[in-house]
Parts: sequence; C-alpha cells; structure tokens
Amino acid sequence: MSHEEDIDARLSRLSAATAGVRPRADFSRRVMQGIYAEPAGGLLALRSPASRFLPVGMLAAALALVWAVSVNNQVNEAMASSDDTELAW
Amino acid sequence: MDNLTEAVTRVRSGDAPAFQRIVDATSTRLVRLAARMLGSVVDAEDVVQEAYVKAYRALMTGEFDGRANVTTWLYRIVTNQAIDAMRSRARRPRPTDTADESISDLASAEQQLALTELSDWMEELPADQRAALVLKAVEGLTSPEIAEVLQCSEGAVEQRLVRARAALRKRSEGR
Repeated sequence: MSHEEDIDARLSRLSAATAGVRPRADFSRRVMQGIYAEPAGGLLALRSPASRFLPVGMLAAALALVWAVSVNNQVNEAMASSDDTELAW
Repeated sequence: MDNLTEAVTRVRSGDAPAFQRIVDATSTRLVRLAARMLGSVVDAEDVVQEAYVKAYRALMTGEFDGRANVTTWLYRIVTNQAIDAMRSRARRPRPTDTADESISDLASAEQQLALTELSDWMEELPADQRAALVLKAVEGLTSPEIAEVLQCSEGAVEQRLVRARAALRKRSEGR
C-alpha cells in the first residue's frame, strides 16, 4: 500500500469513527441563552461595520452646521449693508 | 422556501426564538466539524456557540442578506472560528489532561480515541491546510464547496490539499 493510500484509508477510517460525535443534550439551550443575552436588534445595528463611520459622519454634520451658520451670518451682514445703501439713497 | 431559510427570515424580522430551529437543524453537523478540526468536543462546543452568536448578530445587522446557502454560511463561520482557535492554541498549548478529562463524558471511548488520533496526526499542519483536508476527506465536501466555505479559489483549495497530503506523507516516511 502506498503512502497516499495510507493517508486516504486512515482519513476514511477516522471519518467513520467520528461520525457519531454530537454535542451534549443541553447544548441548544446554552446557545439560546447566549442569543437571548444579546442586545436588541436596534443596539446590534450600532455594532455593524457601517457604524465605524458614525463618528466621521457626526463630525461632518457638525462642520456643515458651522459652515451653514457662518454663511447665514455673511448673508445677513450683506443684506444689512444693502439696506444701509438704500437708506443712503 | 426551506425550513432554514424561513427561520432566517423570521429571525431577521425580530423573532429571536426562531433561531432555535436553526440551532436544532445544524448543531450536530457543526459541532462534529469543529471537533474533527480541534480534536475535542468541549472546544468544538465553545467554537460553535461563539459562531452561532456571530451568526445571530450578522442576521440582526443585515450583514447576512439571506441570499447565500444558510448551511454553507454557518460552515464558513464555524471553520473560521475553529481556524482562529487552532492558531491561538498553537501559540498557547492547552494542557492535555484537561482535554482528555473533559471529553470523557461527551463521546464514546472509540470516538474520543479517533478525535485524538486525528488531532495529533494533523497537529503540525497549518490551520488552513488542516481545515481544507478535514472538509474534503473527513466531511466529504467537494472542492467548490470548500472554496465557498474558505472563501478562496478552487485552485487555492487544491494547493492546500496537496501541501497537507505532502506534509502527512513526509511525516509518515520519517517514521
């Protein structure tokens, strides 16, 4: 018998000898205990890969807000100075 | 729609108890797979339990969209967990007394001996080669199925199998 046949025969024998391996009777109950201990779906969603971008998104939103306020102030100033011009007429 | 796919749909819609049906339908095969890779039913149960929690999270967060085959997807998670466990055990070997003692109430003496023999025989193989060989020669998966589980090409699977067999051959020639 060649080494290759040795290997295949041994793998086949070990496959058959371990075919009856199964978990303990309470395994399913233990798994479900772990599942019920998990946070609710909404909280789990925060753990999703997309949530890694949450801080960046919040920073971008804050910067956009600062920019919007700044532009609003500039527009207000411009309008105020145009009112002055009208008054001068 | 088969039972597993229906259970997946129900879990994704927030019905956590439906996950029990997935566990009942798959746990024996998954624990057997992990035990064959790790040589211990206790370690296998730990790995599969962690894998189920990962799977549940993936369902709830939408990482698993339900289009792939559920069994293949679970095989993939368990195999990856087992590979991580093998690598971590290689760095920090577990005392053998503990393993032998803990297996004794889980498997028959013959099964225990066979798991130990399989584990000892493949001990020196890299984890990815060991996984490929167990999936092929012990679990009976085809190369395309193994490629899907290990998320690599069929060529890579064949290469791992050739290398694993060569290492085992070399080991038996050395004796």
